[in-house]
Amino acid sequence: MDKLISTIGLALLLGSVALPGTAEERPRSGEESWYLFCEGCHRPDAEGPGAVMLQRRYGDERMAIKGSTTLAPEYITHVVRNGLLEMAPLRPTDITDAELDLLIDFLATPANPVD
Amino acid sequence: MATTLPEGVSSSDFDQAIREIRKIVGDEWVFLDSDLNPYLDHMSAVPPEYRTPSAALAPANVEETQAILKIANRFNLPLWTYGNGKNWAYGGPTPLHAGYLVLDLKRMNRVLEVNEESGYVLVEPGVSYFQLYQHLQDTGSNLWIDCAAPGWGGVIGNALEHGAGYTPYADHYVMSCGMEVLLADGSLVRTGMGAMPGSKAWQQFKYGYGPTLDGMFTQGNFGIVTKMGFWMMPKPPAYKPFMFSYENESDLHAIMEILRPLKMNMVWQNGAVGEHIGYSASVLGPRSDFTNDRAPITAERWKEIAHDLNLGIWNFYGACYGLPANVEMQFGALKGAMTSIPGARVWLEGDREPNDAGWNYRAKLMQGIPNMTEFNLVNWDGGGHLNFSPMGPMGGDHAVKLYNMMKEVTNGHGFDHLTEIVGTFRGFIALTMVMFDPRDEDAAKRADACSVDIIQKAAAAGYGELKANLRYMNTVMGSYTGNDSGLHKVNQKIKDALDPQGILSPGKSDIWPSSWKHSRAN
Repeated sequence: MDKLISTIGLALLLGSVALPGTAEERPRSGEESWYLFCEGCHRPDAEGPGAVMLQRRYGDERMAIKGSTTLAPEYITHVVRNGLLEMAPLRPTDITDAELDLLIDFLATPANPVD
Repeated sequence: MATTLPEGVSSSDFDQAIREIRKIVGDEWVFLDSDLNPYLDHMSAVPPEYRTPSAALAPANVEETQAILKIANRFNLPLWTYGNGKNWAYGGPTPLHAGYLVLDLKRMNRVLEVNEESGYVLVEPGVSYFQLYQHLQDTGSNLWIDCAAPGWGGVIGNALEHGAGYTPYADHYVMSCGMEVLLADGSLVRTGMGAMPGSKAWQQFKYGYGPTLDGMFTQGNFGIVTKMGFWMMPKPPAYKPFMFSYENESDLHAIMEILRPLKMNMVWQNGAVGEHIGYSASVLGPRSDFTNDRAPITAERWKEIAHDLNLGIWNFYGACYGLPANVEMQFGALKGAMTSIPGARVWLEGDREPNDAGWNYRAKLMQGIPNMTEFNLVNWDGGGHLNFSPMGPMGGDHAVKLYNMMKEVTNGHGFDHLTEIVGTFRGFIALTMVMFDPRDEDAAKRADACSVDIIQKAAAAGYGELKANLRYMNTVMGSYTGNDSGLHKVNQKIKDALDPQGILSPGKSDIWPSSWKHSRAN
């Protein structure tokens, strides 16, 4: 709870952060796409609805997709573009084909303990 | 997949238009045929193919969008526009009619300004809550965001749909300040103070001079919002989330009577989110965790479920914000009032099990930390999900009447009643979900009929819907018929003036130009 309590004073130290009007750099990293589109549902605990469903259907060992060794890249691509049951598909404007490749590489790397 | 053309547009005109649009946005940002699969909606009561777009176009900026508008006007192309394109339970990323072209603004996703001194951000339509939150974290901001329950939602899109969040800044349109809007003819307008060259207070003062136009660019089709300012809440020194639980369904009347002055006087600072146990359970597990019976879950069974989950039949979440002493004083007042009902229990940080997903995600949402935990409710019964939000005045009689009506209608069509009563400053929303398996044709048909029934029965009793899935936009607008459909008529006059050909999202909220000769079905 300590982290949640801050002081008003901090606001006064920070000025306006105006960014140049340039487009975001693409392609995004796999990690960035994971945060924006996957982790919310696939965080491997009770707060990740995708993880919860995978756990119910296939057991604890297949609950996490991050670090999974059983997901073929073609399968991930198919599910991302077409959705699967409760999972909604992602559009190419959410994640481009090149970014999807980077995401698939990221998913294949083992999850670190804080994930 | 064969291309479904927009009504009244020839194949040669369509091909010519697509060739020209490719030159504007680049080949890689025009999507046709099987690339359109992720533009379909799998959660509604009609099959996804019912609304297959003819194409999706993704411009990078205002200039490219203006160039597309020119072509759309020349070839009479209906453009179904959105920014972030989630909107699940209300139609998702799919257009109203098969054959419309989707104008997907997701690539326009810059956070243009974060102003710590005045506490606002200026963003483009493709910015999601996750993105904005991460941006503020990365820049060391002291500002909170206020997010909808699904964190992948769009900051602008949600506000334009009159959506809400969970901090005291929950009413996203109210907390917006200043828009930039493209009209159908390609002209660009800034609202409020933003209309003045060199204006210094576009995001500080909403009104500027003259009629305030911002509202008419929400939940309609009079323009394309390309930038929008939002006030952001400075992180308060103290934050105290809480939950009050109640044992009996019949406690709702007393709860809402007690809540009315607390909300009106802003003692309860954020939305008072009152989950019926059905709603609470749906976030924690699929229906099969709680019953094997296909019939709607009974009151007796809900009691057992509440007991098993260590929750009440009603579970009201909220939070206090401010200086530590104020927060404690305010919570004391809330606790005294809200626990005057026999059997009421109080839950604070640390009182629930550490892995209680229900408490954890609400405690995050009420301080603007985006997450997707609530999306678990989509797993309730196979992935079909329709949302309805009839609105009533705060108070016990209305809440009980509307809750009972929602229960009878959903149960009557064979569905569980999954309802959340959300108290706002003067009214309440009886958020009601219809959950079904879209692969089950009978269930989908019942869900469709149930949806129409919810809208019409609530409207007949004087409770209007504030939002609609694509399928029911005309049903909802069909309930706003007072003064000889005066509202509908003025909407059409504005549409005729600003977009006579119906280029921009024709049929959104049942608004069409009078020249529209094609289908108006939903």
